[in-house]
Amino acid sequence: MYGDQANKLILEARRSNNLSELPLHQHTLVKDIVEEIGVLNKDVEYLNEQQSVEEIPASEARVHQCQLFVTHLCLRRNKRCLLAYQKMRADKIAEFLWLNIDPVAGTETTVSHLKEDSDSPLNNTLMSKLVLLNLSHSEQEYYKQYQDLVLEFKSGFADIDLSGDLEPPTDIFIDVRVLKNGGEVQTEYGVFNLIKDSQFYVRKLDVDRLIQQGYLEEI
Amino acid sequence: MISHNPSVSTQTIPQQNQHTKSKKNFNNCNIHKLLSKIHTHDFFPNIKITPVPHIFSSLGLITNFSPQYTMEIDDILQDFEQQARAPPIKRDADLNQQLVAAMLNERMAPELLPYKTELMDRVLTEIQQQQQLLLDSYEYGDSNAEAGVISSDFKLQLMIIETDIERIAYLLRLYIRTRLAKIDSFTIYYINESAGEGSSGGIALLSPAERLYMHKHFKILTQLYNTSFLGKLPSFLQLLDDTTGGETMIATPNLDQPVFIRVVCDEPIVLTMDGDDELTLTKNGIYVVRYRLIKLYVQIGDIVLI
Repeated sequence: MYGDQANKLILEARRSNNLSELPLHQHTLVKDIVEEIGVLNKDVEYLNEQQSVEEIPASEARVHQCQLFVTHLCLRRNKRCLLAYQKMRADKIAEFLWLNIDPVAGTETTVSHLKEDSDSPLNNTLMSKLVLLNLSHSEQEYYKQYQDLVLEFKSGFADIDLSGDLEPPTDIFIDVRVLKNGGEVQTEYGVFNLIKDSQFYVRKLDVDRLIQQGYLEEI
Repeated sequence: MISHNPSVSTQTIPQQNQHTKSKKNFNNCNIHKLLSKIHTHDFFPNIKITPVPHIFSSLGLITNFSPQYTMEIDDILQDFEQQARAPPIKRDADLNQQLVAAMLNERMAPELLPYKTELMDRVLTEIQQQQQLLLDSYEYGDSNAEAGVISSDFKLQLMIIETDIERIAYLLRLYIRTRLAKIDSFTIYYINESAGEGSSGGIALLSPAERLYMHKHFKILTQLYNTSFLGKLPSFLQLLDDTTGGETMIATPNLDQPVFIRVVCDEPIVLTMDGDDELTLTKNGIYVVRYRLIKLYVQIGDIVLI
């Protein structure tokens, strides 16, 4: 009562903020808090009612007021905690989206794009499944809608891969090492196979997404 | 090493002639611009790249070449050299600098700055042009590789251009993503701020695309809150921009955040601090001040954030 549950939720939020993946949505906790808010709200109504119906001596009126005040504070605090939790999760989802799953429509990247399509659905579904299972229903909805939104925004900048690396580029060609086995990758400069522990000298633009997805490591 | 030797190119011109007639769509000005850009950017400080129109710039000329021309080929080349040199160098360096400044300002300022519509439009079209040029050049390089008319510099030049495109794309990416991050963190505040500006025609804080993004993102976020718990709360708790209860729910950028600045205008700037203190900022000086005090100077460009 009086915000204990919300405190748990905030702790949970803080914990998952440091994780690289999104943990399971705390359905029951959220439900409990919403219930708590309902109960507190009933209290408020009851107190208000009492105040208007009975004539209360001055000393007791102050007690009443205090009780009302504390209840209101709890209500608002619970709400803020719920919002904070949800916002944190939404931000995480957005972050995932910017990092990983982003088919960009662009003239320059069509080649690498095709390669992604033929190659990475396996990876994408695996990764987003991992996330999607942990999401609540409305979060999944949000995920889909935000994905559309980001795609729409990015289509305005066809020449720049907006979700690309935010580190300044140094070379166009880089050395990479393969971390996971994968299929064949086609680039403008030829074809290479993703075999674990092999190394390649490739164009950075072509493999940016593979690095983000954890297939490759820059060396 | 890469420096150009006019006599070499005069010798190779008859050869090129056959190959280039079909390539009329080559945009000479673009190439001049690019070459001069290579020069100004100093990728290799030790190597002097002379922005003499190399293979390309003679193309336009040669396609028009006819017997009644009595000018010496060297004169013509010299003409081109002069045309190619002067103005674009300044322009492009300028553009690049502007972009870096815009990006840095946006990165360091706690609040959203007005969208640089003109600058962004120019940079975006230039990138597009250069990428087209790059594609054309690759095609040209491929089709002429066997004939032996491609100099060894050709590939290097293309690489430099490509690297440069990458760098500019990175600056743009950082600029746009920074703006989006700010919009996302202060959504309600900026919705209110930008409410009336769409029609007023002044300097817009947001680009149309950003505005659309902001509103849509807010909509789906609200939808998420509503379906997950907000809808089940008592109605007086359902507001998202609630300012009652002692605390406002609208997050606003912290304008009192200290920022590092450099003064770029010639006139000294006098700031009045909280009390009667005055701080005089002189050109090229570096200071740390609260953002609120220098906000206007940043917008007119007298001060840059670093």
